[in-house]
Amino acid sequence: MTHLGNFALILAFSLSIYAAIASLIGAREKRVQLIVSAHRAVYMVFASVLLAVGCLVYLLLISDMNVEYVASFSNKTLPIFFKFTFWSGQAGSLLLWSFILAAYAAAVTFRYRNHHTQLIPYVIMTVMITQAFFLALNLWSANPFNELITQLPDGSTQPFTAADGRGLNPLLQHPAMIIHPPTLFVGYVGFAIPFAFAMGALLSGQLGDEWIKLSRRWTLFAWLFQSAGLMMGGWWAYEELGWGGYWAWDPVENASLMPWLTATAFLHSVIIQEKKNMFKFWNMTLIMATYFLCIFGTFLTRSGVVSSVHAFAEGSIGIFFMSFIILGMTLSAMALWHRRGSLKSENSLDSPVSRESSFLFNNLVLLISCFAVFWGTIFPVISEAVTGEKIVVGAPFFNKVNIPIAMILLFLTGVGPLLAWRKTSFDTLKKVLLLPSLISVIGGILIAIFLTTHFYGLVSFTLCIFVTAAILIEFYKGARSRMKSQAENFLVAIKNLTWKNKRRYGGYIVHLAIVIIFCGITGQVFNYETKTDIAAGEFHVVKGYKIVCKNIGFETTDNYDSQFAELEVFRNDSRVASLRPEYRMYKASQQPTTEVALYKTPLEDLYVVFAGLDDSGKRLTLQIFVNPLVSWVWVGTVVLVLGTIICLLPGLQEDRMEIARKKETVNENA
Amino acid sequence: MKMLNLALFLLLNSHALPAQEGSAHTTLLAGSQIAFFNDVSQELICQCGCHLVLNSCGHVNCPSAVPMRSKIESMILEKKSKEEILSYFITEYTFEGKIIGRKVLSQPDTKGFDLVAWVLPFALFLIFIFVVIFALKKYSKKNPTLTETLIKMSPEETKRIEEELKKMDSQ
Repeated sequence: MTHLGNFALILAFSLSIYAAIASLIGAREKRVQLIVSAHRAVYMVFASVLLAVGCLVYLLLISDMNVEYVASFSNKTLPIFFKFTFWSGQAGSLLLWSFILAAYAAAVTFRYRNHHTQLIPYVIMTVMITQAFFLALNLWSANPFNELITQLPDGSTQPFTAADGRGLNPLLQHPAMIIHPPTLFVGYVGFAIPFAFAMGALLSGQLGDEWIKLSRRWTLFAWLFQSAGLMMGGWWAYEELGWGGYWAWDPVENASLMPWLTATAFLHSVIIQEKKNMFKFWNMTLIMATYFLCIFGTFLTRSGVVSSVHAFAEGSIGIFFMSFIILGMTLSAMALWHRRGSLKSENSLDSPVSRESSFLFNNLVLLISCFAVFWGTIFPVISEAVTGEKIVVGAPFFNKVNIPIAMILLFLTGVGPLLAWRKTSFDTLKKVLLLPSLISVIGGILIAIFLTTHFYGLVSFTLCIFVTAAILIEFYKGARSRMKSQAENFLVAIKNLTWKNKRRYGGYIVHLAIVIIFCGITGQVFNYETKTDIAAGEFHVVKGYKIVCKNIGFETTDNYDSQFAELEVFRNDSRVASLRPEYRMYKASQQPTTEVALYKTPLEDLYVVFAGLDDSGKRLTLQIFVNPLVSWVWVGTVVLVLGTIICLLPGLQEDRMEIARKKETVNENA
Repeated sequence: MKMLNLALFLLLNSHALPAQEGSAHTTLLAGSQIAFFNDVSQELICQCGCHLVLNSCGHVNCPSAVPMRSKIESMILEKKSKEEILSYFITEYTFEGKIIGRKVLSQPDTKGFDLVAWVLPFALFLIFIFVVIFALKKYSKKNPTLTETLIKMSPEETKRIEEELKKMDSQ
């Protein structure tokens, strides 16, 4: 099976090189047969990578301990559920990259097989170059099909079979780890597609709006998954790591956040290009930055250059990544520079107070935020290079630098949509800002009196009220207009309003989701935590929760040994939950983990960690956290996903254009 | 320079999220001592390999976090100041037989090369704002504004464009 896996990888690598070359020659010499052949090669690349994935999953399922990857990241008693997570180690996660990219490539090729014949071959070429790079890594740097070998005293080697594997890292044995990496990767890898469209436009000279329009849904799709993946990572950290939080500014979390920030800037600024033919050069730069930040993020994770809990391994892989990034950036920058004359804006900004300017400022703030994250992440390496001493840049730095930036961004989220295109006069500005400002000031005063005077807490909640008010007023105005013109009731008007202008109102829903997430994050200012020792039959009261310890028990499974506590939680003398915090020692890896017990309500989470037993085994230590508004972060994510899906749905005008295009194609063929 | 110092002071002393009441890591301290304990713990990095601030390491019986927290507790009970505690961890505290040095701190210092870490993002922010304002001014000088263009148009053309712009605004 390892031979078949290797064969599939070699085949996929060769075909991706062929597809890239055939696309290039086909496009330059207008040889349709070569282009069609490249399309077939793309489908075959997908089939080959799928075969390689199938081989690896099979090896994991049968626990083939001849294979180094299986012995390193699995073991015989690992629940079958987790054996499908072939992305647990470096080689497997790179294979997942290749697999998702191959799926995207096949989808793009199939979708546009008969259209945009000048642009698409270059798009395919760009994607296939990336594909070949990742397959090369799998073949020559991190091969998941390497067999275990042992060295004999005479220096020769022979195959070796491990008695059992080291097992999957216990922290990864969590449901979120089944879906978090693929979700995040669908986002991460997905940004290769709009980048490929941008490169396609540069190389083919098709520099109009075509590439923007064609790549918009691919970008949104990738952004949707990147957002969901980021939040799922937070959910995993919150439920598995046992420190009461969900975001620690770990280098790999940062690596996922950076392309998300530039992609968010890109999604906003392409609207200006579509509407006003401006920012063409800028949009190219943004999508290039997003793509290379994705590759850089993968490099950060795999090279171990900046230490992280996510870092897989150090080794030669870093040099491959750096070479690819430097070469790719140089070639992209050259192509961009070569076409700079055709990328000039066809319009200008009429006023600093306009929708266009607000988008420009939004881009600025998002980029600064991205730079601050990037800078903090790589500063230890820079510091070591300059001073010879490696320092640590932890969460306090990122919080202090990014929170003020985030506040500005939140403010712009509220103001931007209120401004008119082209120019907003001072009177109009006063008119549109008056009501949301008034509501937020009153809200802020009430929060300061009744809730908190914590500076950032107060600013954040006040801005959240401001943005919410601005969005709701926009919905109300639109609905009222429909109620008058179409004689619809309010709810029908809201529905139709959103349905008939999905991009605009879907975008507002996404903004609302961001506000909900901000509220959830700001809830941290009310966090409470405590530590207590307790025995069976005793209780402890925390913030109105009476926690009664009913029992302390022990359990053994094939995979781990466990100590646990059975707790009952009372609020106002009523039992509200039974909790079972656990301490596990995994047998194969001999690594301990804590299984957090959670009682969730819309307003706060009671988060209980089993922190240890005393020597008698009768008194246990509990760490108890009361974390307000955490559910809002997850609810906000769901709203964000829904809003983005609305944006992704085709609009009426686009439907009409698509039908017209299809008719045109049918007529041409006839 | 005074302005820079003031800005840095405000930035570094702002209570950025997360703020919290109580502590899941000490039972010896109470009241304001806990707040002080949390404050100091935020400034230090656990050395077990989790790369989290001391307050956040969730490992049960962590070989690094547990003794570090105990040391902070004892130094607080000895009425040591924050600077004294941090200085002790940089210059004297050992983990696995080695003095950790400045790697024990969770954020860059505000002196020497470390200052660049704090200043650069905000300096870049100011430069970007300057560039955007400059670009706005430059564009509005070089290119006629839409309003100026409209003046040169016939009333019919003006009306048509105004209608199209209105339509665009409502999208």
